[in-house]
Amino acid sequence: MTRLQPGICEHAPRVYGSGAALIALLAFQACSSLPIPSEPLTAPEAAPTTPVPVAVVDLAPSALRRLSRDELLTSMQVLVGAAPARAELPSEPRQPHQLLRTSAVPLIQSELAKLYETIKAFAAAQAPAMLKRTGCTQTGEAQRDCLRSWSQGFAEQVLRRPERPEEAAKYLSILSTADGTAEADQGAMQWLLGALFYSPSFVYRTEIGTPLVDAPSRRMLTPSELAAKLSFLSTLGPPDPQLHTLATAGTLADGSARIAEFERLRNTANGKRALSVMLHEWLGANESKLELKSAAYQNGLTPTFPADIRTQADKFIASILSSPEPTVGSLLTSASYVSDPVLAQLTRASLESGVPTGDVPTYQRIGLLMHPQVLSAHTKDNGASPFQVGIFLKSALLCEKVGAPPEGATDLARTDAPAGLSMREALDYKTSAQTVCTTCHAQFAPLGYAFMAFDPVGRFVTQDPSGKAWDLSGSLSADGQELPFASPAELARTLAASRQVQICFGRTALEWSLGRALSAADVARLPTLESTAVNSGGNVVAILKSLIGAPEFAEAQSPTSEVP
Amino acid sequence: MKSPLYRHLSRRNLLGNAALLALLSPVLRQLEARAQAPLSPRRIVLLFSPNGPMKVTGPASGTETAFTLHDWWKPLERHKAEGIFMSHMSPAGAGVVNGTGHALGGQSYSGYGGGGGGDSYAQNGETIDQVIGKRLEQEGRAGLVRSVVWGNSSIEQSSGAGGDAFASGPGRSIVPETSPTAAWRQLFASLGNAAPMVGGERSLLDFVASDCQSLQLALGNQGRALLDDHCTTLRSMERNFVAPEMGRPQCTRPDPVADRTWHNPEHFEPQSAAFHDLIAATLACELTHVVGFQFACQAARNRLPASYGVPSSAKVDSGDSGPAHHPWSHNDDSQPKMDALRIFTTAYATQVAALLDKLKSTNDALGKPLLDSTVVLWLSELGGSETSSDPHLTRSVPAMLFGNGQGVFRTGRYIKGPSAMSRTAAGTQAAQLLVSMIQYMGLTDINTVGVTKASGPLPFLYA
Repeated sequence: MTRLQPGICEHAPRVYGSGAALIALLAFQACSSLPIPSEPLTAPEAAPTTPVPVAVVDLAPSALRRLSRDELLTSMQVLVGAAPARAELPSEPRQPHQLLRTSAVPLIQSELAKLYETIKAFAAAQAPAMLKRTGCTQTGEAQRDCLRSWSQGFAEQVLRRPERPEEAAKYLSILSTADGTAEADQGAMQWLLGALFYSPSFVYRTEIGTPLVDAPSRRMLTPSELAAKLSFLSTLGPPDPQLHTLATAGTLADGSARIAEFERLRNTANGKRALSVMLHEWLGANESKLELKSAAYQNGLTPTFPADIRTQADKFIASILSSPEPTVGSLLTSASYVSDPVLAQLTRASLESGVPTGDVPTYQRIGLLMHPQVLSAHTKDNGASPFQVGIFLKSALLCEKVGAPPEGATDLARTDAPAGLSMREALDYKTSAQTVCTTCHAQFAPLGYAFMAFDPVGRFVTQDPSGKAWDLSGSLSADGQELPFASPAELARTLAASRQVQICFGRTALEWSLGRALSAADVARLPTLESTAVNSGGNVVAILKSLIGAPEFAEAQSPTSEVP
Repeated sequence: MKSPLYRHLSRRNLLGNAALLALLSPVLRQLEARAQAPLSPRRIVLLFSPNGPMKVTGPASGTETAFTLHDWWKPLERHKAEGIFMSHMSPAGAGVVNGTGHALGGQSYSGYGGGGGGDSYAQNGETIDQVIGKRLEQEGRAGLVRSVVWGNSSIEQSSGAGGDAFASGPGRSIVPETSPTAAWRQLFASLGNAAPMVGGERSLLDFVASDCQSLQLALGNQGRALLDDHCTTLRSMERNFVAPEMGRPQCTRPDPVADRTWHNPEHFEPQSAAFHDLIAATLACELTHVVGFQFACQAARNRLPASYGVPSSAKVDSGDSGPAHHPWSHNDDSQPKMDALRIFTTAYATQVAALLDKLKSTNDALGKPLLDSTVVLWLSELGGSETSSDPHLTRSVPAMLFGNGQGVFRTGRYIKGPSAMSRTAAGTQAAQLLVSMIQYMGLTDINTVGVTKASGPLPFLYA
């Protein structure tokens, strides 16, 4: 029997399970007979409005934003009709329990090397098709001139800016080998595409703006910057001709015009995908971790399961956002995805992972928090992961950060747990050695315990390894109250109804639109945003419209000292 | 009275000086010849292995010049004469910088400590490959690229904690390229291309470098600083993009590497062999002088081919299991645990030995073996001890240096470090070891590393 090692008081991927307890397979016992509420739990009407503390960073906003992988891929797809594989692009740096940051995150040398290789290969592959698109069928210099003429418009789309005077000669140099023969022309087109897609003007976008005449300390985004900001938020891709035209005409300076464009764009295929990516990022689930789980959990899953489950999650999100109630609450409580055939690989009764699993009526699976795409993003590669899940819930849904464990915390764990404890009891025992452990774990463990019965890929393990009944109950500290729950579904419903969760989501949406953590300069925007978040019941679309329509959306956030 | 000049020019003096000159002329000729003999550029390969041996103290024991390699490191026997084998070390800055366990061991190449940005394992600063590479780049000595960072697997592929072994800044670990196929394409695909291809690519690089500069000008000071590394990299790529006949040493482009799922553990051996070839070719062609290579990331759950017979670990308190390195480090003592840890350590040692073979058998532009001018440093994330079951031991860490650096280092020795007495002293020595590497690469003005407060190179390394 493996002796349990120290290491409880931490929340990094190396967390704990009761190894011995997992070995035993006991006879199935009757689960708790808690009734499943037919109506969602709601917070009392007169809930005290305890302010939710705002975490701001002491870092000036930047005018430089790097395109995320999703934005690069969408852009190339829109511009060329194809894109490299996502894994071929350099991955963005990420911090645990933090939204993806794209502001002030330049590419480093190793990322540039990987990007260069991918872009070159992509350009070589797309050159023949793009050449056809130009319609140029001349010979000699005439062919070069034809390609040059075509490239001007295309380059402006790719680089999202007009050509600079000094670039004319450079384009001619890139296209100099074109002569009307297939090989030479494709080579020239390859270098042109490579130059455009490897250019910093493509890989980054700016929010520099121009100073207001009567208030030079404020800078308004230029029309192209504003169009890009709205477009990338709405679709992950560059502005389409309509948006570009409105921007050039100055129409986007008006908040209601921006909202109208957002409404148009969000209903496109890229728009739906953009919102799904945003919500996946909110829940820390945009990068699939299913394939990293131990082999036993992969048993019974088709090779395409990771891709299929992501598609399913996208579909679920799209259905909620196009419904009459596109709210955070609906995302957290709808069970409409559970009947999807893809889910059956996980929800059916099975012994494929080595222990009995399968959804049971007593513990209803609802909402995104119990979707395999989200669950697997926060579980270890093996065993139960209540602490990681708990920290994720605190951070992503309540905007409450849990600090890092103190040095030497792992050595404090108790290793002499008596036999026969349930998984929860054993973990509580391990983390009870000192007050420093219990105080910290009390912040997140109760939330994580609610999801303790899910295995790393999202199957529901039907019984606690000890043979005792699962205890998935707990209490949520939110909205200035202690809100008890008896199951993960009850917790999901309680979170769904929480004003704190709505406010937190509003802030997350703002951070997403800015590509960075909130700074002191953003605090002034929060009352309006949070009011919208609460009054709309956490309506995702309403919150985004509030952001987009706000005057600050059209302003450059970078300090005046940053730009010339 | 005769003048001083007259006395100086006296016949006695003249005859005496002439005799002295005749006597010393052979020596002078030899000195002059040696001064004119070209030296190869200095190169460095930094290797990182995850977790640690855990249950044995290695890599050697004995006296300084009469020592025995521990069985787990026996594959390096044939390279004893080229190595400095150090035991009882600690990660750089231990006792001074933040971090314990994996957080400390994972920053072995930076000296900035671990834990930051909400991640208790993340590195807090750039690793020395970046320090060296950037300086070489500034001085126009870098080659085609500042440095390369390659590996058998990344944290995304084998799971772990914190990040990969090399970092470009606080919390910015560098994802290693784990595909030799992609690594070949990045460095060698354009080499030796026909002139039109060369011209096209050069125009591409000129365009993007110019675009970067324009973007920098459009941004203010902070923006310029943000893009400085990006633009410098592009300018270096453009500047160094010259065909071999235009200045780079003649070198044979290695054959392209056929693709496969490289991070699959079953491909560990061909992957390693391919990378050894690429490292040698990259250094010989002077495409870079700085290579970082990780067997796997911090606290890696990396695996080896099934044929290696690593036993499968039951799930441990850290939640992982299977025939992987990390879970075995958390197991109770047992024979299977010893077997597993031995297999991993010996596998790493075998690959290091193979790399050294390759560097010895590949000549540089001056016709000398690469290993003559290349220093290879192998650091382990954590240590090992027969008397400790601590899965996060930051004492008794093995470290090995190979290559005398064209006479700079005195190899063929074993040095016992001080971690048994003082982890802080051992951490200081490890930091000085990194300083030695930095100074070997010509950055002699750098006297410390990270925030270790260590000063100066490690004296006992030198000839």
